[in-house]
Amino acid sequence: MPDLASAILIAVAAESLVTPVRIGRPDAPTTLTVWAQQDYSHLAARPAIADTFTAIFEEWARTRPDVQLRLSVMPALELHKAKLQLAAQAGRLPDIASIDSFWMPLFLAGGYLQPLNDDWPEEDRRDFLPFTISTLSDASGRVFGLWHETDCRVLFYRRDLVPTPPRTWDELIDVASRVARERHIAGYLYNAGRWEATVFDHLAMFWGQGGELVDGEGRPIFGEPPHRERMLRLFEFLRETVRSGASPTSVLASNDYQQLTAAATAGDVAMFLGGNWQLNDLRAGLRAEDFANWEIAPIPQANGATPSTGTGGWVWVVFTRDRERRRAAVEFIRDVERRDHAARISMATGHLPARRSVYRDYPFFSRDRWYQRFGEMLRYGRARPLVAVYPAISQALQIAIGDVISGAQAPDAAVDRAFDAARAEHARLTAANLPRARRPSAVARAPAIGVAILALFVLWRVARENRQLAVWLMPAVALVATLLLYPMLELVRIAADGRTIAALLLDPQFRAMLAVTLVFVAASVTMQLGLGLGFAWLIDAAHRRRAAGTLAARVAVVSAWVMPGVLAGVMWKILLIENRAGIINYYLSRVGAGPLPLLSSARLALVSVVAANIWRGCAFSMVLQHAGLQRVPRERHEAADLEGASAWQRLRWVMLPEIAPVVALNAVLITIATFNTFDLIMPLTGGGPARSTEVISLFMYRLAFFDLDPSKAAAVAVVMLAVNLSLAWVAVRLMWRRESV
Amino acid sequence: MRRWPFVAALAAVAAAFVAPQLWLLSLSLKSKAAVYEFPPRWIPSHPTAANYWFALTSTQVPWYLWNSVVVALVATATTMAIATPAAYVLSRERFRDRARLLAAMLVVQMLSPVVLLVPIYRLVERASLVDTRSGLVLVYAAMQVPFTTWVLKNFFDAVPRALFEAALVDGASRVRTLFSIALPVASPGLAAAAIFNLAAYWSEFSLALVLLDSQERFTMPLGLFSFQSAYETDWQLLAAASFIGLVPVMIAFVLLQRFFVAGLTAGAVKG
Repeated sequence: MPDLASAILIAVAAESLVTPVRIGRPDAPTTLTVWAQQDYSHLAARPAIADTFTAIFEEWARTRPDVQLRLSVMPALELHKAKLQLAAQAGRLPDIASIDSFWMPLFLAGGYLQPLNDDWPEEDRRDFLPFTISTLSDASGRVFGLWHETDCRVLFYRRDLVPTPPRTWDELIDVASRVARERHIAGYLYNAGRWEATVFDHLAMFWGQGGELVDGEGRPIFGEPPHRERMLRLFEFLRETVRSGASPTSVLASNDYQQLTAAATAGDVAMFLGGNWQLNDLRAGLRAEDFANWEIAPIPQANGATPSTGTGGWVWVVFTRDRERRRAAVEFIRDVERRDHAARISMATGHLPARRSVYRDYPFFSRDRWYQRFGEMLRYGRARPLVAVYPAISQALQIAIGDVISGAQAPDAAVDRAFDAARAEHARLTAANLPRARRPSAVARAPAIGVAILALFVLWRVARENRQLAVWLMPAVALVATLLLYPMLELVRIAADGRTIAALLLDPQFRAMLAVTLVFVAASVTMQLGLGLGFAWLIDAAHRRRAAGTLAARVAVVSAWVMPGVLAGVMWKILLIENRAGIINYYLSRVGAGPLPLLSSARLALVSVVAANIWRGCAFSMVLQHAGLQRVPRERHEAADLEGASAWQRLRWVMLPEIAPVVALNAVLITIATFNTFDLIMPLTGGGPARSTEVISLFMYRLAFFDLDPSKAAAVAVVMLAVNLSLAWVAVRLMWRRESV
Repeated sequence: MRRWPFVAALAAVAAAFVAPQLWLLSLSLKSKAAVYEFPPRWIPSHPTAANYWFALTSTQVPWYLWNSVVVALVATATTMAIATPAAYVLSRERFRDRARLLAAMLVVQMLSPVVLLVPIYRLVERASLVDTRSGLVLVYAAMQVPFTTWVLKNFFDAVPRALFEAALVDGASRVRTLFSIALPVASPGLAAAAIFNLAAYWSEFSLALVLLDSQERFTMPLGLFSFQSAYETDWQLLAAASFIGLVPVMIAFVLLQRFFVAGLTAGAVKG
């Protein structure tokens, strides 16, 4: 079977020059690795974009039979950035990557980016919008990236509901809350989920008041006067959007522009703050007469502020240091961004071209009234500061905005906390840039040496009794020692090295996370135990009465447990959709209880995550407790029947004595499993909204692989390790009693 | 005694666990427009296989499936090959540290790999095995060897003593006894352990997330995770891709239901 499948796969893949993972001939001698962007490749969700890139890539592959590209498209933006940063640290960066323009400082600082000047003629560079070259150049004129498209943010509104577009925040809240009241649709939507756009979209409202995030040296200043006042006003405005009813709390779960488009095409919103490219999505998704209702306007500002909009965009960069490969890499990206290609791509994506000649020579852009308007807006457009601390600022502000809108924090407290976080990160970055004297540490090798000695000692003791036995045990002992015991000790060493464990206990984020974890574990475990026992009793009782369907019910419950955790998470995300495609919300509204913000409200999201976890985990309790119930002697049941025992008496005197040890063991085992839950929550909420469903494993993962703070992550993991090992020890004690080893 | 309340209650329980999966199936057969149909329909009015066709021809889903098959099979084979001799010795032989080793295996088996993500990533990186399937297989094998050893030891324990004594009289070596007596007699147990491992490897997410970079090497759970953000509002596509990942598990589960439950209880309660 597998051989057949692979044969088919290879046959299909060899046929074409462009597959989902490769561009070019599979036997081409030069291989370049590319980490691209999903929406800027032949795998884009929108067919028009996908087809354009397929054609461009096929043409390129035909002209360059000597080069093949191994392609990975990174859809989740945050993951893309985190993977690139890890790869940079480990020295396994791809040859080419497409990155968000504001990530540039992260890779520029480490010297990972290669200048493109040698293979990119000056006259071609002059065709690009000036800011796209100057922002990416250093003082000596070396250009480190090719800016492929740009964009700007605008207010989309429906003319039939909003006759004149609001210019100020007050006007916006006024008209949006009125529409929401009268029409029962969202008045105004925007991104407030935990991602970059939540901050970037709103920076225009901060810049418009004269606010600045950082000073000339890249030091955060947004929490100092006069900028603090401006941030505060923005936060108060955002809080007011939800308080006034202008916006639903579901904005807190908005972490993709497509969600805004989806609401607009479903007819569920009157206005939203979006990006210029969404115009195409609206045109594609709406009937012509409905699309005619949509119009764009500059982003509403505070009273007396100047217009502003954020301009972003993605950049091709080259990491490979090898001269020949670098040349091939630059040739590839220049071919993709050739004038006619760039024009075709921007027509498909709806983004704004970065080449001036495209605006001038293609009627699609020069004659179009929308592009004329966008062109005007680009004039007061502004890019994010290219400083290393920006991502940290953005992250702090994302959390702050989420907290302010959900009401978890007052605006002034939120600004101050975000500012503290940004300043701390800035201090850490500045300190990290200083050359650190690496002390040669004997401690660093201690875990490896310790584990090696332990493993050899165990085997030696066995070998003294019987040499053959040691040989039979060796592979297992070696593997477990290397990949389980050594990591455990190494974890403790990393945490101890960073001296982070004590600091962790004072960290308010850590404490908040512990509270979330506690609620999650306690609720899941009690419900799983209770329902598991209930189902086990039901099946046992039905079986004794020879009722039909016991096997079917068992299989149904266990099928949920067999399902891979990620899949269960994805499935629940689909069930919990908050618009009209969501089935659970449909039934909730049928009984008059909904629709509810099941994933976007902090409290309900936690309830949803717990529900999904119970759904998946019941089976384990049911099977264990059913096994326990089956050990209750039949005569005891019959005796209870004769005496006419009540259900409670039967549970208390007939069943519990027999199953109590099983229940105890079961409780410990599912506590361990629930405490470590990761795969279910990642696709379901990713820990959001804000951090309301971020349990300990996600917290640790985020620290290690997003914030790149391994010693703090190790400290959290040590806490997890301690909990795991002590619970495991309890479980083994419980088991040992039942086993005759 | 009345039976129908029990039948009704059993049906309600079964529905609560099957309905979500059926809804997934229903969505996967709908067009994008039908997803937003109101009121929602459980049975699509115009069922279409287009989502499945798209997922299998225009996305990386075939690569994800293939990688999962390879990784799960190779990792299971490795695990079984390493755990079997250890389990056999721990079951048949008596030596001083035996109980201690068994207890250690039992404790370590309960540890989640999520806890060790940071040091394991560092270790695999130092071995230059990040973004390779071999690195993933090695780590996977290590994660499941303690559990598998423990389960197999229990199955070997159940082989009647008389069989071994007969072999001993014939003067058979330990290797021969293992292959000619223990393995054949304990084969249902071996199968249960292997299936349990296959299911665990098919589902594993956190290690794959950290140890793999390139989509051409992603396994199904990781692929699905990236798929969901790529096609976030194309729920029908996401449903189809999810269902493709679910089908192998469900087929294995329905065919081998007994073994699954055996594997579930074996590590925890001896029946």
